[in-house]
Amino acid sequence: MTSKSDTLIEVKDLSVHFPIKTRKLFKTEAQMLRAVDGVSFDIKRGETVGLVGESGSGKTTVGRAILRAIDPTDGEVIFHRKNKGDIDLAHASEAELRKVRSKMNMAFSEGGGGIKVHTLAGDLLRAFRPEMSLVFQDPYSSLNPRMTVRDIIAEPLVAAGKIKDREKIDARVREIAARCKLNLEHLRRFPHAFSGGQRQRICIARALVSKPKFVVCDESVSALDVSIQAEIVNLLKDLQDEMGVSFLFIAHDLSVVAQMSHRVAVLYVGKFVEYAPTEKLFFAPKHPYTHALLSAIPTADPDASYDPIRLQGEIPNPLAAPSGCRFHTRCPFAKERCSAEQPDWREIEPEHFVACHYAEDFDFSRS
Amino acid sequence: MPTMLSVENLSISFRTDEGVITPVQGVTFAVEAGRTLGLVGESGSGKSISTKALMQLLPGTAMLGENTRMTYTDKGGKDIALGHLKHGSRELRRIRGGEIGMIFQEPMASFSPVYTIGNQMMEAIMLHRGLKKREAREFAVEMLDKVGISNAAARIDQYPHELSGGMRQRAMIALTLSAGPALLIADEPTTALDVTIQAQVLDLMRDLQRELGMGMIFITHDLGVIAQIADDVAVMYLGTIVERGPAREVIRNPQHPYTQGLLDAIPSVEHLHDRLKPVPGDIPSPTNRPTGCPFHTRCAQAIPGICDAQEPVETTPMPGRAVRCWLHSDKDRSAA
Repeated sequence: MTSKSDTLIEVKDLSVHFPIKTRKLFKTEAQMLRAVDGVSFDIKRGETVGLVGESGSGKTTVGRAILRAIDPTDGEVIFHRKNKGDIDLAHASEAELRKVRSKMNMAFSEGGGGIKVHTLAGDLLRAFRPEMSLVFQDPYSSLNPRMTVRDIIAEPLVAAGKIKDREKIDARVREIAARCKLNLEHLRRFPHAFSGGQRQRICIARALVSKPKFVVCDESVSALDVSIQAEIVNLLKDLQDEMGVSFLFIAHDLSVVAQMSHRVAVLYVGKFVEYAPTEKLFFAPKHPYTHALLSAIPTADPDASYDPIRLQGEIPNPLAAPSGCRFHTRCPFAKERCSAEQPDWREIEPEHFVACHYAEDFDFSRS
Repeated sequence: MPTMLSVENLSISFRTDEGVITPVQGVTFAVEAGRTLGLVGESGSGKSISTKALMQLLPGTAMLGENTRMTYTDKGGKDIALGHLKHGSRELRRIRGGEIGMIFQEPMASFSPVYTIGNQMMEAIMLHRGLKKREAREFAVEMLDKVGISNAAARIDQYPHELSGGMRQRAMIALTLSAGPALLIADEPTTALDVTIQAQVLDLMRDLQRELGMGMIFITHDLGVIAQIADDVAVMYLGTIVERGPAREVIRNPQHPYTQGLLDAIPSVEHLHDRLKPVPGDIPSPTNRPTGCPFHTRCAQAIPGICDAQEPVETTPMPGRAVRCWLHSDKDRSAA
């Protein structure tokens, strides 16, 4: 077990609900779409946490809520800093905030207590942005075609306004570009001249240029071809070793997540069903859904037995999430209790969390 | 099993602003009744447009090569030259859908959003099976039932947007199969689906194929899916088939460096701590196709002066296998 001071991000009971308005003949009805419903986990310094789940399970929403690209409805996101005992920015009043604003850069980099990311607003949030970053899925639509690669990579620095000197910015851009295996001559070109893999390296360089502590990779390798994907996975791992950055690695492809992550969380219709160190999750899962997901991966070994667990039916609509355990409608082991009672989120082994009434009864381990 | 489709020397060129590009060059393959041919390749390898050429679904700017032969043997045993069918002809309409069915990656884009599922199925059934409206509806319900859509009699009157992704792909399969094709072309049919739903759809396609004795071309970039569904496989790279043979043998014992690289690059859930082995370099753009062997720019075993200069010919390193690589054609090389 690692000590609490290694924790970088702490997510407590995070919920994101979206009101969905449906217009009926004479009235508008509002329903709550519970995209993420009470999710808790933590990410350590230099760690990669994988987040898997099927479409509509809320993976992207979790990532964006942590970054405050979407405002969480409820819950806390705390960003821990190494040296404790400075100003508690999250609880400062508006007037105090104004005073600190000019010293903000220092305050963020030299540490105080944990930063309650979920309470930051306005200038404070903006000043905090360089600490966290995001790499998107599609490297074709996430680069502005009218900017040079140099300007794209430099943009987070320019937006943060910490470094004003153009030469210093250039130096920083060149350094990160080299680390991401881009040639210096590439910096003068426009994105259209690059292939998918090169574009994703540009996106990664842009995400890391402000030396963030935490980066969300949202399906960042899913759009790439297999032969290129492997290279980007290796690059992300190398950059993590060199820079000590933490990743939240969101993907629907379990085998990529297995390669990238130290720990993996499985999301089903807005709730976590399991969270465990990668090896435990892949070799000894405790939740029937995790087990079914793993069994459904087709392997390229013609001699391996492929006998996916046939889950009945479809992924439920989050607008009408099932009662009790959300997986009970498709779970082959569901009992009466499962449809009535919501399972607790509990730690059944050190670091191994699961939400299932009967987790102890299952042995899904494979050699 | 008799060969139902044979494609020889398929080349497709497009006239573009930057000159003529040829994204498919000399592709040769065959499909036997009751068997599945997997076409694997990365983006831009030409796997989709090769099959679109069969159905004459290429845009007007496309040109087929002079030596291209595409012969399809229909249900009555008649050989049809697919490349010579006239646009809008009765024959082409009979083949397209009736003899050769097609399923696409994104089912939402292949259904019309303004007609119900039933409407669209009945249109195909009445055209290809010559049934009356009432019979066609009954048949459509039967087909929806067969692909595992519960409550088919009610679902038939729903619009495509009312179904989930997995349901929609099942409905697409039902629609395509209701016309009774002898050959099914499935273009990345499970790529947009989640793994648990993908497993259901793969199951379904395998069962239906066995039941109906169809030939199938299954296009995918996922070698894992190929290992599960294909009998034979053709690996494409930049518009050419670099290796083909029985799927099992090709995956067990790949002969072309590209196939080997592709297999090595796949992340696995079994070996968590091994570093992944990417294929070095980037996929060249089709406008800038390398000379000689298209793969030589990324191949660790490329022979200077040969691989970058001359295009390799297809050789047979062992019975039933074919590979296009200079490493396997010493004799041809000295002769050339």
